[in-house]
Amino acid sequence: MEILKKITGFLLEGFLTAALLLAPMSASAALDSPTRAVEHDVKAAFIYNFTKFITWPPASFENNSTPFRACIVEDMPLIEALESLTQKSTKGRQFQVIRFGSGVEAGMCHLLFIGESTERSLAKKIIASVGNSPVLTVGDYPAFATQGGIVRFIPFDGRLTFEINLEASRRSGLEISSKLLNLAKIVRGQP
Amino acid sequence: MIPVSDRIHNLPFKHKLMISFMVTSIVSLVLACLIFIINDYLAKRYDLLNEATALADTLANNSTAAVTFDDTHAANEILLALRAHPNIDMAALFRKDGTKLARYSRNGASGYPEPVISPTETTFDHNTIHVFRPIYLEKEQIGRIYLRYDLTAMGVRQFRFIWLALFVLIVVSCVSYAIASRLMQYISKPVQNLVEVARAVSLKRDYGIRAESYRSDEIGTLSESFNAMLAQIQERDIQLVMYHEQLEMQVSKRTHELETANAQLTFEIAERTKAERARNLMEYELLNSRKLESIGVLAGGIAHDFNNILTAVVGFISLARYKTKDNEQIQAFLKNAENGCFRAKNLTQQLLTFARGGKPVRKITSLTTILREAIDISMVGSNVSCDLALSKNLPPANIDAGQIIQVFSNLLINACQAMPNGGFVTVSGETFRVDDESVLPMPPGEYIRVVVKDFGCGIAEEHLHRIFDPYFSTKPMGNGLGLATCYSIIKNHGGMITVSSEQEKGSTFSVYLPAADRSITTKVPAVVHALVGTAMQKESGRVLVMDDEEIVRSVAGELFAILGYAAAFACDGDEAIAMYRDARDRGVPFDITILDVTIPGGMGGVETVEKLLSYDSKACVIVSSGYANDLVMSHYRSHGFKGVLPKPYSLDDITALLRSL
Repeated sequence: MEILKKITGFLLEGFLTAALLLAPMSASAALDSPTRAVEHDVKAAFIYNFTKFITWPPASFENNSTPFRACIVEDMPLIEALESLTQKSTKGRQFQVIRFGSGVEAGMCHLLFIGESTERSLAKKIIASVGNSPVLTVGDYPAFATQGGIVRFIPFDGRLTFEINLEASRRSGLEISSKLLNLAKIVRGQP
Repeated sequence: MIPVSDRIHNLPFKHKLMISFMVTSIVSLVLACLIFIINDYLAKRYDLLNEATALADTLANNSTAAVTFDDTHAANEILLALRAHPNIDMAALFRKDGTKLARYSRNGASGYPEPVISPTETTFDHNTIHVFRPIYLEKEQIGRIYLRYDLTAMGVRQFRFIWLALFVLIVVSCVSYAIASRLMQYISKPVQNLVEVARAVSLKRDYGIRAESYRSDEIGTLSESFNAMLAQIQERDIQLVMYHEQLEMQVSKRTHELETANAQLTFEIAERTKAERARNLMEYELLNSRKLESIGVLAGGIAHDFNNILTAVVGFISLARYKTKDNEQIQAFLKNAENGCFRAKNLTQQLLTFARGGKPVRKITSLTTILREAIDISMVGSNVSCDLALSKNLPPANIDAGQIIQVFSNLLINACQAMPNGGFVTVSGETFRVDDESVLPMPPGEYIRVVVKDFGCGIAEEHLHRIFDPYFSTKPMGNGLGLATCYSIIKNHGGMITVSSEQEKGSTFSVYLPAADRSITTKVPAVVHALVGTAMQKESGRVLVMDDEEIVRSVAGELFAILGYAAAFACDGDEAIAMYRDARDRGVPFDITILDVTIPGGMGGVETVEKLLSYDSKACVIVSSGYANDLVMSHYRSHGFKGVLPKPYSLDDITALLRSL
């Protein structure tokens, strides 16, 4: 617990700046439960910012006005955190947040977040359904990369870091900026 | 102190040129170096700024992810890349809110102040550029990057540049000085040459010197113009000299003309003066002549008559003396009377000489004798001594000795009278030539000039022109005929007499007489008044006396009667001839016939003797006249006369005459 507390403290401290950075979108979330909200806000910010350092193949968009679709599996607080960012755009496209569920195909998402709370089997199934489609899969549980996910959040030293599975990203046909790669811990996932 | 500008003004042209060239080149070079250095500095700064900005931008770009994900570690990693840039000694990354994300400092130095976010992108301070660049992610500023650029190295570089520039400046100055001095010759040498030529020209005044002219630039043109000017001056000089010479020639010509004219004028004036003097003299002479002539006529008439009367007086006195030989007292009275008569005779003779002009009985005579005689006669018993100085070759003169002696006697007596207290008179004689130039109104020829000079009282100026007038005298006892007679005699000899005098200093009389050919000198017949002694020899015979005067005839008759002659008388020539014939025809011819020369209104002696001789060639005819100096009297033989009996005559005169026959 001591460790948890410490982590949380660190996160709080580290996220404070990120929160400030992302103040407009985290304002409402912060009112309900500050700690969780901050964590989710940071993650949401990370997710949003990833889109700026990653290039999707043009074919993944139907046309120029096709919004950027970020699909979130089950994690409602994160969805809420991201909702505040839907006013913004990324790479000239509207940033759209979609709750991944029935009727939503993994292939139509540009980004797919699978949180810790999602069952591992379901998660695995969803990842499998993505296959080699140009979908950036983001998760925050340890086995995510090994299951074929591309980006995984790792809390480290009071900060939120992430690792990138280069194999998975290459398969998906996404181009990840070297700048992003410089920040990430690179892992080689199983095929 | 002389101002710098003046000192530059006084510098030689060459140095001026050099100074201007050097100053120009050095200033240009310094300016160029300055511009280069400043430009280099600015360019370098600009470059550095660009470099820094570019570097900042690159880093900003590289750090977008790190800033976006607030990754301090990654950010520091990125900044560490600046180690490769030695000029950047500090850098920092700032978040959007201005808080610092990462910091870099060279060698970990902490001496630098903490970077503070600044709104300006770039600022310069001493040796430093501060660059602030925004970090953009998809056009959204997510943070800023700060770079501090150290310019010290650039300063060093600038410093090196300045040294280099100085070095270049020195080298270039030296080189340009060398080049300039070489090139300057092209400008300064011709100018120098021109200056030297100008100086030489002005110094020597030799306009024949020419400047070298071998190029067609301005100096060449100047040289040519200068030469042309010199040529013009030379030409003008030549012309001037020519004009001057012409002028001088003209002046000398004019001067010569003037001199000639002047000489001509002087000559003419002299001529005129001479002519004037000659004219005056001539006028004077003429006047004198006329005056004397008229007086002469009068005096002559009186003297003639007087002489006849005197003849009677003398004759009768001599008769009386003859008759009263025994009475001593009567003899003495008669002697005195006779002497008085002789004086009267002399007077009449003088008058007659003067009146008739006394035609002289001339003979070639030496003046020396004449003058000695005149001196002897005049100076006897006088306290005046005479100094006679005659030139050795004094020619003789054709003169009537008696008349000339009379002239000099008169002059000498006058001289003696002018010096009553004694003194001396100089008499000098010399030849004198009268030519065309002479002012003396005498025909050209050789003359004898005798100057009688006394040192007496002199003649008053107002008297000077009258002294030759007859009867003009300043002496109480003078008859006023002496100088008039002198004048007349000399004039009749073809000569002239002049006078000059200064009161209280003396008078000078100059007598001019024509010189005779010296080869025909004859011995002077001594004028001897052979007085017949009282012892008379009685003769007998018949005598015919022709005279117009009754009183003369009567006294002649008495005188001849005493001498034993029977006298017959005729009034004129015709009567005399008739009586002579008649007597001869009757067998009682006249032994002696005495004829008067002048018979007014009848035949004179000269004509009568001719006729008598044509009738009787052996007739003894004697001429008698009161004109003792008459030509007939002096040349009686040429007229056929056997003797002369000047009137008045005494018994002694007749006795002497009869004896000489």
